[in-house]
Amino acid sequence: MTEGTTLANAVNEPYLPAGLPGPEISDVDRPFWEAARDRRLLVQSCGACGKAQWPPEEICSQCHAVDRQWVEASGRATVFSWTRCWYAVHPSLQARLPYIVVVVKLDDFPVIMIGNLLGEAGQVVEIGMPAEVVFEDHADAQTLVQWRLR
Amino acid sequence: MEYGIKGKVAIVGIGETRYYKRGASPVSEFLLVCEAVMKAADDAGIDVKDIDGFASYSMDRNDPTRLAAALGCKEVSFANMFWGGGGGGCAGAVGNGAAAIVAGYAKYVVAYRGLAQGQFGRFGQARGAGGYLPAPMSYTAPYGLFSPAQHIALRTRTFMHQYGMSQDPLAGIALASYAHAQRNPRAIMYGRPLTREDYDNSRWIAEPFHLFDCCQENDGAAAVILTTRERARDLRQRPAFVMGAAQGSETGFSLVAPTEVSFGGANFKGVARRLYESAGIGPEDVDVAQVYENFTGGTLMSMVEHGLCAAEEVETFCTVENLTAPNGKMPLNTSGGNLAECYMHGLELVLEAARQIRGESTAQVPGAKVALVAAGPVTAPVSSLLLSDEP
Repeated sequence: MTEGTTLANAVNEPYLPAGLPGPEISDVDRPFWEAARDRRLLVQSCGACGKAQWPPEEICSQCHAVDRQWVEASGRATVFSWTRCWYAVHPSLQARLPYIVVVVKLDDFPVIMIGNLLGEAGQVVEIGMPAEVVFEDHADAQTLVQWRLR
Repeated sequence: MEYGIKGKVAIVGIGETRYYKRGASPVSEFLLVCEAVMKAADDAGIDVKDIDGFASYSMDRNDPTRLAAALGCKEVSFANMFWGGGGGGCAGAVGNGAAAIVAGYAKYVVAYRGLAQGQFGRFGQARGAGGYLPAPMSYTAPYGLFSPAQHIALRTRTFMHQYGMSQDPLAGIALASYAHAQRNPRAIMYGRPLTREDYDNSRWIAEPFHLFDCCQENDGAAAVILTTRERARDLRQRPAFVMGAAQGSETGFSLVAPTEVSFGGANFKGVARRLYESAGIGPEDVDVAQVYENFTGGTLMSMVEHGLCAAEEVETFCTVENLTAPNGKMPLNTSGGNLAECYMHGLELVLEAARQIRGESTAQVPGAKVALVAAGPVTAPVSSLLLSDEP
């Protein structure tokens, strides 16, 4: 455990209701999802040149090595963009409107990630606000990587 | 860089079915496409059986070999699909057809698109419950991020933040499309004017998009016929010459797997540069613009990247007055476009650009010589096209 990704940053009350598709895990991103269960945020990093990549890919776009390694991020980030969603794009969301989708940029790696912004759906959000990772456990399903303002 | 398209090919025929509300077509999607292609051939004054090239986009379901067989075309010399979903290829299908003509692959290429959602289901709505989705959807769907509206809302928010933009330019784009549709009897929204009050009072879909920032979904089909400059001279209509065409993407840009690459943008930076270079003109030469509206924010960023207005000026430039024919500074989507004429995945915008060059639009820009078509923005790959009244 490192600072910023401690057990305090975990919730088991899902932000969105059950019924949404879960992540289908592949060989390329299995370490990311497994680490989320252990409350650690990982970013793909090339074993040859160290370039961080997100979303993960089979090959390094910089040096073309096929040497997929992972490094741990602090979980601290900044709000990069957000939208408050009012239309049920999936049937299971009908009773859970609105909700916030957020894009964050990690403070310690040059990558952006997507999740929900936990908390009140009506909360004031602005690009540039500091955020932090939250690991959201789901019964019988994959732990999701979520975010909240800090 | 040497470009080989300018003035060598023309749109010589345009055809479209009646446009329907989604799911309302009384006939199959394939029959809609047959009708549009036959109308385009009639418009050009050629025998539909002489069409020997076929180009489409967005994984159109109407296979060109079936189409050629059904219409009794003598030969299939060219059959082509522009990669990518949505309307990113509505200009690219025309550009690919033009390239095929220049290369000598085919004599008469039809670029076409058909949509019948009663037969095939809707966009913008995920189906089924539970299950698992592979990457890149695995990084978005569990968070309720599915639709282009939501993705492009995120991109638009970044642009708005960067340039201190209000809701007004988005409203201006929507109001201009609806104003033009009131003059166009083909338009689904003909007779249904939109006011700023209606816009402001409409429900949110994904902030900053209201309902009226979002395109329709419709049934119908459209087609355009391309041939050489020389053949075009002998045909029925005034040719709309392909002055320039470009397609592509910034490396790393993806609607569904976003990275920082042009996050607050439409993905036209390189495409627009190559478009103008291929035509040997600049944005100041464009008289009328058909800029794909999946969502007004995408249109706005596409306009900026095509040089129609500066990012710092959108607040004052994108007013309904400036965007409306005949007197606006840059008349935009003069048929009503995807928002208010018909969502034919943007091919209706190509037809409208040809009409402007012919002088036959219901919202004609007097003396229009150069018409821009920018295909579906904020996806990859994207494409654009310049038409002109002379080669």
